[in-house]
Amino acid sequence: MTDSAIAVKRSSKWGDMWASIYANKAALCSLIFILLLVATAIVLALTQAMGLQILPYDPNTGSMDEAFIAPCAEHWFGTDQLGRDIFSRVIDGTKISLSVGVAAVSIALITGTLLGAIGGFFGGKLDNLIMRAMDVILSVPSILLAITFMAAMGRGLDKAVLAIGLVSIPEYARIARSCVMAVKANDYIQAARVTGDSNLRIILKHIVPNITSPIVVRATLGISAAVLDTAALGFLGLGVQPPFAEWGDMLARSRSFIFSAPYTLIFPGLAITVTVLAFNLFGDGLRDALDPRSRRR
Amino acid sequence: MLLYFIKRVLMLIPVLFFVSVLVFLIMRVFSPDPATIVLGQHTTLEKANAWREQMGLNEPIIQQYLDYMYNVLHGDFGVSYFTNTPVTTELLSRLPATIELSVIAIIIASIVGVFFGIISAVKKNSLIDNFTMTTALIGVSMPVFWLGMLLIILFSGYLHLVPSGGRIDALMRPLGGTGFYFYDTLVIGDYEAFFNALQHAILPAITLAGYSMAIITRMTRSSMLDVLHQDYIRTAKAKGLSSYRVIFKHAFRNALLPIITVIGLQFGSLLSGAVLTETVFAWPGIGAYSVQCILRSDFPVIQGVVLIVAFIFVMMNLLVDLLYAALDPRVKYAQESA
Repeated sequence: MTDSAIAVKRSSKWGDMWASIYANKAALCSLIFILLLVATAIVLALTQAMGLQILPYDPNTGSMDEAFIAPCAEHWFGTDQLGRDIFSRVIDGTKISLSVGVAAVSIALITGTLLGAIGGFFGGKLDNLIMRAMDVILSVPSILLAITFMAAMGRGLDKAVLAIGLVSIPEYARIARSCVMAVKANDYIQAARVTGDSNLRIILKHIVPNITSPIVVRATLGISAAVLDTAALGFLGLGVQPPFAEWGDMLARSRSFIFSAPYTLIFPGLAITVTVLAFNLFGDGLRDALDPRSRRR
Repeated sequence: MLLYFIKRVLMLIPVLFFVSVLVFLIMRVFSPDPATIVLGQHTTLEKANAWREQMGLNEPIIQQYLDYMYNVLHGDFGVSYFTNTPVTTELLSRLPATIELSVIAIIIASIVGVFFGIISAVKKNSLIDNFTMTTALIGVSMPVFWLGMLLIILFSGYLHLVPSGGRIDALMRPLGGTGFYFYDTLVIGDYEAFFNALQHAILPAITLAGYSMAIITRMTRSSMLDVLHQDYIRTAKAKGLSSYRVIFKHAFRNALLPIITVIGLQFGSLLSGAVLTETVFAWPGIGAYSVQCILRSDFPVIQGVVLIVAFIFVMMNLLVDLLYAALDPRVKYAQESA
């Protein structure tokens, strides 16, 4: 037997991950859908910044003569109470939902991971203090806490981002802390210490690469939760202010016409559900790909 | 067991203390001056000062907190900025509606969730399993208020089966009583009113239950699958027990712990889901009320609602832990010796 016969093809972690996602059709479709959403949001933001309108109609203005047109060839999803084209508004809403979702998750991810990693790495009183603070935040239901923040800070999208981000910090802190503690217990960390590596070097070289997968999975699922929370805050009238299109806010305004024009609330709701579903499916697929132990039977 | 119980109850005190501090700080630090909100932007300095004095907002913040907590511990949550009625009265009159709705919702969610979870696990990868799991996935992805509106369109709009909002027809409202309409109507034997209340409750309860139902189904399925793979299940099957007996006597009882945990945790989160559901169905509970108060910045009320909900949430978590210890001797042993 030659050496080459037993040489195993070296597989990288990320290569395995892509293969696993590629094999999972639901996750793959979700990923494609998410990329499409992101592209739509970016293209819309860029063209609107340049003063171009690529949507069939202006999402924020309409004429009262055209109010409540049922879905038809000109208006695929119909028009709302102000005569605005619902299709254009639903597509335009992608921008807000995605950017709020990503921004809120970024706040939570950066702050939470940092706090959890510091606690887990250094331990002791600092760790205790951080984790007890997280417990306090977790002992209030998250959407209620977000609403409380909004109630105090006032309405607006920027505040919604902050509120949703702040209340999800503990999830990331807990994950990061437990990962860091698990990695820290390994012999190779001891070895690195013995060879004189600094704390910073140990954190960057050994700990960070080991905690990325669970955090990335959590963040993907976190975006779906953030999109739902954004819609909920919008629905309660705390998020975006008129005339801008946001899915939750569109639903709130369609409520009065629930029997006379049900189509006004079918499509914004569908947009939320499909987006959240895509992030959930992709997140599940990512988790299975990165952590084979959790693979669903 | 007693020791564990006492330890867990004592651990609640710091958590509840810090929750109260957190809520108090959010309301005082992040918010603009309540005087300008209540009296309007164009109020005079004297008027604003007089109002602040009256509300005790000119005291040092620590003094304010101590006063507030002293009153809260005596059952007084302050006075609404707008209606001047005591917050305690407002909340107590609305709490039964929310509790009634949440209890019905958790019963629906548990029964349906556990039932479909077991079927899914037993008939793994069958058509019904795939259907159930897909529905559950859509269930967790759907905004609860949208689900509510869809149900209204279908069942009140097209089918005219149930009313689209409210808690009971005005003429049938039981006078006095506990505020729990199901209980009140049954006690006086008014069955017509009971069924009227039931008709009103069914859509909001299903809406509120939706998300928890999906979570409970998934948890039941995975917990059952874990157990069904154990050796003793194979032994039970091998000695010729009926599959009904194997599933319920052997598997389900052992799969129950995580299921109970998730049901308990869901009950806590139902209370916050009630904020959205009650708004959609004009259900006169603390959820819909707190939304009104948030929109007009009625801080004392919001503070009261958050404290009460957090208290119930923490108590539910404690109950789950205690139940866990009571049901699983291994947990009790490990935690007492720790």
